[in-house]
Amino acid sequence: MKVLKTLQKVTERAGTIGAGGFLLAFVLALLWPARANVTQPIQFNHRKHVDAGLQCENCHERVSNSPWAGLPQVDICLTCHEQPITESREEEKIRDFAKRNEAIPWKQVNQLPTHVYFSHRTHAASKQIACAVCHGDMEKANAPPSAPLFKWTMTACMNCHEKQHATEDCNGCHR
Amino acid sequence: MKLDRRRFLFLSGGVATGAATGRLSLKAIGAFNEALAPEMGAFPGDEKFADSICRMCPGGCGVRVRTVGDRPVKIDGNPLYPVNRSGVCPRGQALLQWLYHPDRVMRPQIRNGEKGWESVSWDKALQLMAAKLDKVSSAKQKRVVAVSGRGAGLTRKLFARFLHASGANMLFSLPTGMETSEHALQLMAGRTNGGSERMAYDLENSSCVLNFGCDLLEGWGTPAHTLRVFGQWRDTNRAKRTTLIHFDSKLSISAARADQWVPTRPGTLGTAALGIAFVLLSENLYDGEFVDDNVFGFNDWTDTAGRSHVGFRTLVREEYRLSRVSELTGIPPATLVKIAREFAAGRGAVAIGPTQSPGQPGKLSDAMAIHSLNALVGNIGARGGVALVPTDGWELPADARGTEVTLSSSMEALETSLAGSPEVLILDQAESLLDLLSAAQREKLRQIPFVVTITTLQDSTTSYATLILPDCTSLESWVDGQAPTAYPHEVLSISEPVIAPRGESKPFGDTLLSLAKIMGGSITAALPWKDLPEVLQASSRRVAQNKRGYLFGTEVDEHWQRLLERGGWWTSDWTSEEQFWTGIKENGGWWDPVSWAAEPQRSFPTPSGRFELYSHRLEEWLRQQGKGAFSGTVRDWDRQVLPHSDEVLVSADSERFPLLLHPSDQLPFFGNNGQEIAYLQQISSLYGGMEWQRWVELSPEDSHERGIESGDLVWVESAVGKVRRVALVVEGSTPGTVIAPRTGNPTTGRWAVHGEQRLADILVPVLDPVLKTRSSMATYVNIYKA
Amino acid sequence: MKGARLDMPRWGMVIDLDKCTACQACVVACQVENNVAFMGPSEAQRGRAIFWMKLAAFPEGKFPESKVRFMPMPCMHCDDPPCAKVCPVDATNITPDGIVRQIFSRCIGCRYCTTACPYTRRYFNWYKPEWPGESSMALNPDVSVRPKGVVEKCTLCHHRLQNAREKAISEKRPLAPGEYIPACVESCPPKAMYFGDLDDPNSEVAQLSRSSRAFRLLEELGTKPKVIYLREGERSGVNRS
Repeated sequence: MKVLKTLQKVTERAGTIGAGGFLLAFVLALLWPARANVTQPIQFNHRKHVDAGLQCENCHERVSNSPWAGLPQVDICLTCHEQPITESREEEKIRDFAKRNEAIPWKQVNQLPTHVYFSHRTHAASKQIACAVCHGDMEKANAPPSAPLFKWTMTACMNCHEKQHATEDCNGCHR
Repeated sequence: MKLDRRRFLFLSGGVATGAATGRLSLKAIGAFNEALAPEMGAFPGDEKFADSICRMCPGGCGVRVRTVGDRPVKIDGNPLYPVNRSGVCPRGQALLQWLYHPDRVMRPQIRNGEKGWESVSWDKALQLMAAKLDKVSSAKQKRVVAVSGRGAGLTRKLFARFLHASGANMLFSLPTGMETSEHALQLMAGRTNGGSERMAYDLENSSCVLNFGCDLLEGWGTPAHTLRVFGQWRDTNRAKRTTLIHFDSKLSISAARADQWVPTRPGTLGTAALGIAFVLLSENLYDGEFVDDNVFGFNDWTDTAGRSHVGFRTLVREEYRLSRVSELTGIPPATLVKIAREFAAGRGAVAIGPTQSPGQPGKLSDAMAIHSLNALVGNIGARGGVALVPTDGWELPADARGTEVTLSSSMEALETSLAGSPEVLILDQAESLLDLLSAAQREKLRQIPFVVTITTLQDSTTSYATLILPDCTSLESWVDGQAPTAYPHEVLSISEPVIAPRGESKPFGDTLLSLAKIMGGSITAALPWKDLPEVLQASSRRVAQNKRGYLFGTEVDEHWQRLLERGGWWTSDWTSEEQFWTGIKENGGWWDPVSWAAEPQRSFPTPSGRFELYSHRLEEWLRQQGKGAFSGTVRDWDRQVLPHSDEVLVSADSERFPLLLHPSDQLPFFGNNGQEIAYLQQISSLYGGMEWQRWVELSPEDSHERGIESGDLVWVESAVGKVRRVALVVEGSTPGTVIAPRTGNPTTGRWAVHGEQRLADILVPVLDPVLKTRSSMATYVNIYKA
Repeated sequence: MKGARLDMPRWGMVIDLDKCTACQACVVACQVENNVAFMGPSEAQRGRAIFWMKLAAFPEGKFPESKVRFMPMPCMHCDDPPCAKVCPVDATNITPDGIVRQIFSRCIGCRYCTTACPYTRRYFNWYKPEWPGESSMALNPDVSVRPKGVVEKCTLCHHRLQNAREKAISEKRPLAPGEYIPACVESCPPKAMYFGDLDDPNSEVAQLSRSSRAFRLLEELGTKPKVIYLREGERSGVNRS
């Protein structure tokens, strides 16, 4: 009872309510997952391309022979888009970049911290893990996502590693 | 609790502030983490390996560059390059720090006022240079002085031809250190008329090496090759371990790693050599057959005028008795005997020296004394020994105008030219030059109205310059390589650029070709090529005509080729000039791995047709120099011509200057450059904590006497000046001797320490009495606390 | 060694002191390969320069019988590492194949391990590493750049092992001998360093480790170091004139 009374006394003061609200909001704001807000130079439509029959590795070429999957550059896009296929302004941007001899400045949405090393070759090619397992259903995306579709934490990675009896060597990912 | 207006306002205000502060804190923590965790080089990229040639020193070893996403990230040796076969010295490992150095000069600069620089375009810079050179060449006297620290190669040849076409008559190249020994060998073994030759040692196959004062492991010949050979000497897979005996007054790294360090008093290397000769003669251990059939001047002889001369044998027996040698050199007689016996024990013994370091090539008489040892064991031209080999190097297609510019590496001749008030001074990667000039001479440089420096980094030459032309590192341009100093085989190599030139830097070879086009007339005619690859291809045509040699291959290929050669076979790796050009680009080079014969050379292009211990050419030269024919006894005259050892180096004033200072070159800074590179600075002080500083090494006895401890600031004073250094006391070092590394902290760039106090300011070069060029820079000094 | 498995190699190194030229190519090669920060003059003079591989010089004796001994010293990768015993957060421990690993992201910078190592082969990042100008372009992407406040040491170029293993997996074959070689061993110009599986009786390192010239440092402490030195050859004892 005494506790309740003290509590009542405390909450009677407006200042303390304000302070309480402050604290609550502060903590919530810290915990609420931060998301990167990213806009790509070309609003690439994954769905259209998948429907047209393309596989992930057709454009993200390096997935089978390199640690990095790679983001496609103009030369890959130009294999089909040298001539206009649609009337989309976005498609025109490809040829604009090519004309200016510029690389497409893709922004890397799926980023790992600098101290983490991840090999696409091992996961995608050697172990045959489907892209969607980590990258989510990109085939259904009409526009480039502004944040990763899948929440990666070390726990998520380690869960899979434990289940699949993959390496638990710390240095395997942290070099 | 009632939620009245007041409470509501406080609550919402609190929530809003909380949310905002929370977000900001999150961002702040994120930013804090980001700031703490600096950039990683992670970027998408494929791993590729590209070959190049390192040019951190004039040696030119083959390197293999690991690039990820077109960025070079690691350098290692190229296993196909025969000189080093996949090892590089620490300088090569630090090549990337040079390539990406923050103080790289990125565009041409013209001096603007006292300290300022103005960036200009290449066009403007070259126009300016062309105009100045035109003006000077049209004046009565040609007053262009050019100095190149670049090392032998096509670029230097292009430079020489350019200078010749524009009216200069001499190009000074910084010395390699082998000049005096090479000269001595040419006097004794003769020189083929018209052919150019260089001295080479077949160290890989030597079984016993007497090293008179050469800092083998600190930059001798070409470092990666010498280090590799050292490893081969001690390879347990080999039948016999090569013995290395080191004669020197100081305990350098090379001395410490030798099988035996023989402490020798300063200036007595030649005496020690003749002491060994005495033992060989008195115990009859020398190669009698070679000496009888192919050596002149060994026995007493009578000349055409009927005068009788003393022979080498008599001179040594009478004047270099072990007791006397021991007294002069400080070496116990028993040691000399033991070493001499070992030296003569089998085939493949060789003596190298004296000193043979750039700036300290040694005395001619000492060099001849050491070569006489080689003659006594019959290794001239034999496997494991010493010989004069043809020096081809890359040749520019012949110039119809005739002879090229003379290449001189005499500091004395350079000083004379500089004293003659030249109008234009061109410094090509010549930072090491400044370390060989005294303060007074450096001041003279400031009086030259137009100074051009070709350099990659801001270095000490830029403070004297009016125009800076940014050069490229070897990774950014086509590079040519050739057999480095003292290497026993012919090598010609090529490599393509690994990355594009950084900023607006341009390889000097290309700069010369552009300049030639601007200047027009005979200069354009002399250098008609459009770019470096065209020059290289034109030069390769001549090599393709060679009916010998192979494109670079693996070590297995090398063994096979030698096997073929023993049977007298040679199969060509190419059938046309084009195929040769493609092959040489792909494999990296061409070389002629011809093994040296087991037998010594039997005929010599000397007046007597033999290896001359008494050199007729030297005799003639001495006469021409006005030494007077036979003033004094015949013995005095003969002593001058035969290998002999002059007086010991003594102090002019042993009271005031009792300690002998040895300037030394360290491997990280071999070639006297690289002080700006952090990784090299960090490894420069093996005995403790002196990196980024300029220090002197003292023995415990000397420092104790003067109350000096490690870390104290001291003055190092000679008869001509004094400089301040930090003292370092090294256990076991020779009393009475001080070692002073020539380099230390950089004087330009972000880690510069200003107020140059260069060692050259206090050094008094010792000139060779015959050649009149500097033989040593060892100077008597005193050291006291500052 | 705890956790050792018979089917995994036990990586070790042999350094032939007779062939060593004290050139320090190994020191610089390691620094370049592993993105080791370099120190400017003032930091270096405080003794804070980082050398995962260090060439230690030991002058001994008095003139004229003086000598200097040079020993390249990487982390000894002890089979019973004292550093791993004291780490409060398990940022350093030993892998089943014998590499004493350092997990930089877990390290809290207490430096307990640095004190515990009897060979003084561990370094603390006192400063934020700086790569002036564009020198960061030459950073090796396979190795992280450590932040300030973290202890680092020789990793036997563990990243090279990872890369080699990964490549072998993708090509469906076992790891070939000589495919994994640390940067220092690769760089040595006189070929004085050897590396391989100490448990493979046919490997060069295993055979050399049984040589009569072989010795290890501070064996009496019971750390079981896996870097083995070969004594200098005959006549390289005390210098006698």
